[in-house]
Amino acid sequence: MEAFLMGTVVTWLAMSIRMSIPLLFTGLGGLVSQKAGIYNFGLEGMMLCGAFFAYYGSFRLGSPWLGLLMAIIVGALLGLLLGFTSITLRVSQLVIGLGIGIFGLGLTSYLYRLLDQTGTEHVATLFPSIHIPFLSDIPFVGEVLFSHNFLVYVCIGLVFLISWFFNRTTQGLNFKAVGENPQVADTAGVNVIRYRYFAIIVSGALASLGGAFLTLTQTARFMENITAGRGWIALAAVILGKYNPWGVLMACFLFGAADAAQMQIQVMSLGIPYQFLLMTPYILAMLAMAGVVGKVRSPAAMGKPYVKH
Amino acid sequence: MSEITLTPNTGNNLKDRFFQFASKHMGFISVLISVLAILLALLIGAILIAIAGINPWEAYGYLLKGSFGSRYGFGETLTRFIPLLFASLSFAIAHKSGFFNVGAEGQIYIGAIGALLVGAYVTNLPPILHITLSLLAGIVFGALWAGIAGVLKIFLGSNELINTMMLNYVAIFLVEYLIHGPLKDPQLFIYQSSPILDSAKLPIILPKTPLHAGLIIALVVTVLIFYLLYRTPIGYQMRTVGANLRAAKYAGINIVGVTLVALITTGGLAGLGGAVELMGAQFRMVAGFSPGYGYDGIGVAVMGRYNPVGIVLAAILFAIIRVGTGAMQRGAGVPFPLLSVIQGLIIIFVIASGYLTNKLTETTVGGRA
Amino acid sequence: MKKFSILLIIAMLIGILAACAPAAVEPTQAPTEAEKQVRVAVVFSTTIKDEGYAQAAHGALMEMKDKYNLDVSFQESVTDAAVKDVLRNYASEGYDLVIAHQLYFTDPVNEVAAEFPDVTFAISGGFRADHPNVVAVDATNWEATYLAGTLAGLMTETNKLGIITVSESPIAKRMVNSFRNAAQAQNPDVTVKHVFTGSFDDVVKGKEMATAVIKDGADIIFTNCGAGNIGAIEAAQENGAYAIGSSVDLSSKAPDTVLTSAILSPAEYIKIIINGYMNKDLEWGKYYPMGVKAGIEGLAPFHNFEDKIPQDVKDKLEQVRQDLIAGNIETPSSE
Repeated sequence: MEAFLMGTVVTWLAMSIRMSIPLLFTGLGGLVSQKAGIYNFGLEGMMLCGAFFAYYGSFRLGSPWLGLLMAIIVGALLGLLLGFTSITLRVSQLVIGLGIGIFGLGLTSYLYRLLDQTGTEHVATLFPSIHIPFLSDIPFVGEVLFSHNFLVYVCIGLVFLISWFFNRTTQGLNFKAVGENPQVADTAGVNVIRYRYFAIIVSGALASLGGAFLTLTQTARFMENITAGRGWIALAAVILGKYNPWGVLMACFLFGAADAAQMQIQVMSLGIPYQFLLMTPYILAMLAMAGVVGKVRSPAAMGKPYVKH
Repeated sequence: MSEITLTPNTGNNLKDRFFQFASKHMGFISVLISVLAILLALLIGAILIAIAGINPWEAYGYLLKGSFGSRYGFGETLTRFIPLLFASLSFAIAHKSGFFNVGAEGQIYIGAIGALLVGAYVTNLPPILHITLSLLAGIVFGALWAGIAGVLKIFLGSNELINTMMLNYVAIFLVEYLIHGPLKDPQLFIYQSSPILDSAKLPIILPKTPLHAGLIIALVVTVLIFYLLYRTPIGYQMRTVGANLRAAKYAGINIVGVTLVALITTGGLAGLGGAVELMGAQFRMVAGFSPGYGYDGIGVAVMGRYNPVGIVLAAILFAIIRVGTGAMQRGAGVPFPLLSVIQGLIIIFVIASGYLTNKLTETTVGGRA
Repeated sequence: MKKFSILLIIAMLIGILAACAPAAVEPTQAPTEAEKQVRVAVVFSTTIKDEGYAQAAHGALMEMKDKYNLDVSFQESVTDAAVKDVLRNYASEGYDLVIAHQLYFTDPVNEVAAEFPDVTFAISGGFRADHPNVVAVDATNWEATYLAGTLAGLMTETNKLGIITVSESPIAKRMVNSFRNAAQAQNPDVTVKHVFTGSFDDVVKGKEMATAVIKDGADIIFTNCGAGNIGAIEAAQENGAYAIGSSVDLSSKAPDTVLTSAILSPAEYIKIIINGYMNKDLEWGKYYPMGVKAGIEGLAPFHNFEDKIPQDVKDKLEQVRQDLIAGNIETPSSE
């Protein structure tokens, strides 16, 4: 019984990590743009495009690295589009984001159909999971922590990097100023427009990486709408994580772990209607919001376009 | 003409004349700009359709013919227009009151469940009473569902964007549970709810089309909502809270009370939308009851610039897209994903074109000052 | 003035769009052609790239198009909210045969068919035909699964099997019961875990769900969860388990993992309906549940496993198949 329990816990934890990482990449993307005062509601569309172009690059060019590169470029371009409309044209970030979502769904599905006309199987080359001598072999800890794809560790590294950047560097502090009070930042000599463009482009690239993670490590095939709403969950994770990289990590892990847990509970066949199990991640997010997270203060200039006077 | 000669201007007469015209007819100009943006998006779409080997004129011909070129298409477009209008009103009134409600989708589902409970299980009522009660149930259920997010915001300061979004997922799974279990039609093999009774069905107002009396309800409600927002003290308070919370506090407005009214209205509107869709068009609850009306409503409200005429026009545009793209598939064989691309382009272009409208408004207003 | 302007704009919009309208009404077919093309329309609830139900039917539709020189039209991703309107549009646009390819479209088709007595309707995958101009053709949705369960029961070494579906519809429940009954008939120690993904699109969820079941000890999983099938098969491949596909032959996705697939032949329904309409040998107004006996359901070829599956297992399968044909096996409950 104990061994069985242990096995279940190990499977659950490892699965939680795998389920969280795509959310975390995309969530970090959302975080970076929101720190600079721009809502990125295009996360879902960017993620989907990332998933497709990573897949396409990987099988067409034969290397997952080139797929990854393609995803980053496409994500950055979509970020640029959102940046142009929200920073320069100063129109609704929310609806442009929704538009990018619909556009991305159509674009990726259409390109996929063009590819698939011959009926042959197009399978992408995946990044293999790593095996670290000694570490991966430790029972329990090895499987949970040291048996993943290298992108998982890159993603955790990004959390460190972003956290350090926002708290320890001048540019990072400038970003915060741009999100909190762009007028003051501008007076202090910070180029608000340039910072915001940079943020939204990075945001697009990161969101796209979240999608790329799905098709470069988890499944070798693309399917229409493969992201299935993960971009929206990532957006929620940014706020749930109180605009803090570590908070976002926790929030993404909450979603991933809750989803993995409901899967494990299904396997145990306890007779709970599965619809209730499927809704647990969302209810948990609300409970976490009410209980632990409390009031979240958004960056003061969030969603407001900056006009130089 | 006389106005122009009265204007004390020098030099650039044409430009001034244009601004004169623009400041008088801003509504006209903003619609014109949007139409041009739509045409530009359609033009790009035409190129894509042509690349796919289909005649774009033929395809757009079907878009037009399918959405209002025939009696049935006309009725179908207006039928789709109804839930879109409700959803956008729901988003708009919440936005004006400073509440970010992205939960219309879930509120539509729950509102429809409310209407179903009364419409299918309360018997022996005359139609007028049955319809009224079912609609009220929709409003109450929608308002209560939005109220969950509202109460969490008011008392715990929880972020309503997340909560309304999470509640959408919960609502959809909850409805799936209900139609599998307690509300399943016992006479059916598949999972669907029982249908509402005939006495709770909204009458068809354009024979030989699906267009039902919900259209009248929707338009009346639109007028009422904007009357509430712009002609009543509570509406003024809602807008003040939405525009500047600090100023509202300073002015002694009861923030909690006003927010509660805003919540009941936003949730009630979406819930009513669900009830009307159930009672006029679908009659049963099914798993895919709302194909994203709640999310489209956000686009409609923003595109319509939160004003009644704008929202009605934008909702018509979205309805035309929904119905017309179906006709493009059926008639011209335009691939389904390509239609999403065109739809996305239309949204992006129209919203982006808002820049020109804003710019023009600023310039003309600035010119007058 | 303002309102007038808006009316003007709308009029302009209509005018501009109307300018392109005439192209649509031009007949695409030469009117002199002696024999009129038969016009067939199909309504799909998902996209035609779903790697299963709709994709197979779409392929069959294209095949029929060439065979009979049909004028074919279809609409994808039709929601429950819009299906009646789509059906009415097809019926009023002069299509001779309107097919809805989805179980859940059974009621809407019967409702709309009453409004258009001159148009012929068919429900592919439907379960009821209320009017003389409707036919419903469906698989039993459990016989092929019964064969799959037999195979799984004979082949399992851990005595644990998994079955993955999207939701808990009565059809899914009947399928699960069929799979379980069949497996336990061969091997009373077998337990079957039934899990749900809740999403037709989510490949990764299908994969993780399958992984969870396999880690729990299952060595063969039967997957019937839309696009998630692809993920479930990958999970089996990575974890050294076997998979049994559903709807169509999924062997090509992982030839050394997919033992076989429970074929429900969604493509066949379309062929039966169109052939029946063209050759007038299908009786309208009736419901045709077709299973192993009609050749609609069955197991896909074993491909790579042809030599690895022992002869006595194959004999058992043949025996069960004969029992199914003879009607000796009780229909599993859908509860």
